[in-house]
Amino acid sequence: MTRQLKARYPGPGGMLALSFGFHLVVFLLIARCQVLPSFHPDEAQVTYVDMVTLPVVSPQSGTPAPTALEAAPKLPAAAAPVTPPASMALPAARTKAPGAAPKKDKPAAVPDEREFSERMAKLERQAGEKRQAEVLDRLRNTGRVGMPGATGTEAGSDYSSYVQSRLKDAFGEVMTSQTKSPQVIAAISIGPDGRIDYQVEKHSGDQLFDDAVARAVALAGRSLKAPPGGGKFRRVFRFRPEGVAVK
Amino acid sequence: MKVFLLLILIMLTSGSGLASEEYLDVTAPSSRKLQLSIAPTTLLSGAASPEIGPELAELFAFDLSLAGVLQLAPAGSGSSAADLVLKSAYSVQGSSFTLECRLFDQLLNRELAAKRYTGSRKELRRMAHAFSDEVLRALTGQKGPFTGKIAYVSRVSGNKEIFLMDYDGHRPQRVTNNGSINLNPDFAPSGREIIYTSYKKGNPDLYRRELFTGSEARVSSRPGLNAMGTFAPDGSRISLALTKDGNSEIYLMSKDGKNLDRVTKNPAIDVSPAWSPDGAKLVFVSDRLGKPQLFVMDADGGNLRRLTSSGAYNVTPSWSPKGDRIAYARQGGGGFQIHAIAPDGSQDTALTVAGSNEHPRWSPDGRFIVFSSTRDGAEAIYLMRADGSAQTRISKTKVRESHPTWSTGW
Repeated sequence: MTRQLKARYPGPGGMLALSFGFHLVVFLLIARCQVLPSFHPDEAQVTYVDMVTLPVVSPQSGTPAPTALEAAPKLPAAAAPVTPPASMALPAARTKAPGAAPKKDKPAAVPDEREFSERMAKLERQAGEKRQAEVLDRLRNTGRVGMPGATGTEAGSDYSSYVQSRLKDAFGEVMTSQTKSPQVIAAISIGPDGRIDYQVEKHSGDQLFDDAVARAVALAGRSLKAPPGGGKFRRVFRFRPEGVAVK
Repeated sequence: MKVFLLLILIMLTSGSGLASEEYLDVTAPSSRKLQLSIAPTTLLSGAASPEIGPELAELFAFDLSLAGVLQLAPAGSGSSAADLVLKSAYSVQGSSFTLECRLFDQLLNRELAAKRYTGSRKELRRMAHAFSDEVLRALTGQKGPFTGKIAYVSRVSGNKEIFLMDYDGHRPQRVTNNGSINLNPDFAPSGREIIYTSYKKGNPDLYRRELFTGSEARVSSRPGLNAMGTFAPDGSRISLALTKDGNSEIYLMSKDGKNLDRVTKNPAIDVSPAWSPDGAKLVFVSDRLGKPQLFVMDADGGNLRRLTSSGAYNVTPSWSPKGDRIAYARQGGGGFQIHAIAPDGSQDTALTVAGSNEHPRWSPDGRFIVFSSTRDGAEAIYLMRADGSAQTRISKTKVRESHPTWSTGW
């Protein structure tokens, strides 16, 4: 019996190799299951990569998106100064100052509320600036935008604003209603020949008001100029009495 | 977690931008009335009657100005500046008279209404009122009330008799002629029948009368008072006040006077029931809290609640056909004034100021209130818009007239 055991004993070297192999297997298993903190990916950085790839929402040329501008005063004082969004690069990855003592690796932490809001405000600002820059670029590089006959240098001279202005003038002349807060949503189309057409997407329930919108469109259509570039214009407008809160 | 954060950021950065750019707002500072031009009446065929043109113009002008959504174009301004043009033409062939009326929208270049009426010459007023009804239907989607009749109590014969007249006070017709006291007329929803209380057999009993045939039936002759009857909106039942058990209580019964159901059970006086337009509720007057006040309850007597909380003496309620207001008379300052209140007890608003004003009743479309007033001396019939504007006397005589009620169009 003792002889049999002695025959199976691999000796000190063998035992060392066996121990090493066993520990390696355990270590790999732990690493595979992501139990060790050092194997965590840095999730925070990945989150903001996606943010700056948001699509630009400014379907109408010449109409600056107000969101970013309006959000600017709300930024916390510690926010970074505004920089031109020449390249919508991601927020720089965390870099360590030279010579700084290496920090201990912590588990990937969810940003606290303040950090989160600061980052969000910064990203929001950057997205808005990018949007505005693109709109301005488009206005600079495109020869056929703006109100027909205008030089394109006046603020707010885009065709949508032009149509809105004409509709507002006409609506002021014919608006009538029998309810307190009517509202009509209608898609206005203007063909290359300047002919106006409209399709009501949402009635007000007040026939007097609905007909007033029809009259306003007809009245505005008498003097409208055709869209620039020989194209067709289409935009959704909301007609309502002034001073009535929007639901 | 990553997806959640991403969604929040997307909403914050792009969502608000989309919302503000989805619509462009077109607003106008104030509402105005549509300008209506009434074109001169033309003759199509037959013998010309020069008086027809001015009479028609006057009728259309009165009806459509009163409606509140139209403003007549100044005389002599021509029709080109107006939003709408009303054109009429007539033809006469023997005793047959035909009137054609059209309403044009000049801006939209569209005909909004066109009707031809045939009858006798004396039906001219009714034809004009009928087209005024159509004008309001074309403009607002709801027919006008101008072909309705007003039933009222007149003392022209020295007694209190029930009469009918056009809504504008023309063409009065006597309905009762019994030399007694006749009160509180109310139309059936069809406008072809009325109920009223008469003392002609000594006791104040409730009668139902068919206006076109003249046939009449006594539908409630219980001991004591049988008064203030009002038809349910579907015409199948009548609510009324009876004192057969000692004090006045609200009852319901079928239109033939059967199937009597007691609705209120209170030692106080309960009178003047009026139906909600859906027939599910009743508003009535009760002094159960000391002074006459308005109360609302289900038609079976349940869910009783007090409606008016101000004013010491509130009577004669009438529920708007639209359901949103209840008109009533409140005592104060030596007389009564017409008020209107929302069914939840809010927005209690005085509609009249001058004289003493009582017995408010709504037009069938809820646009107007007809009432009696002493502002010009003797009690007379007036009407006004639901907001209290355009108060207009329609009584043509100087004798006392009161208790008006307005029927649906004939």
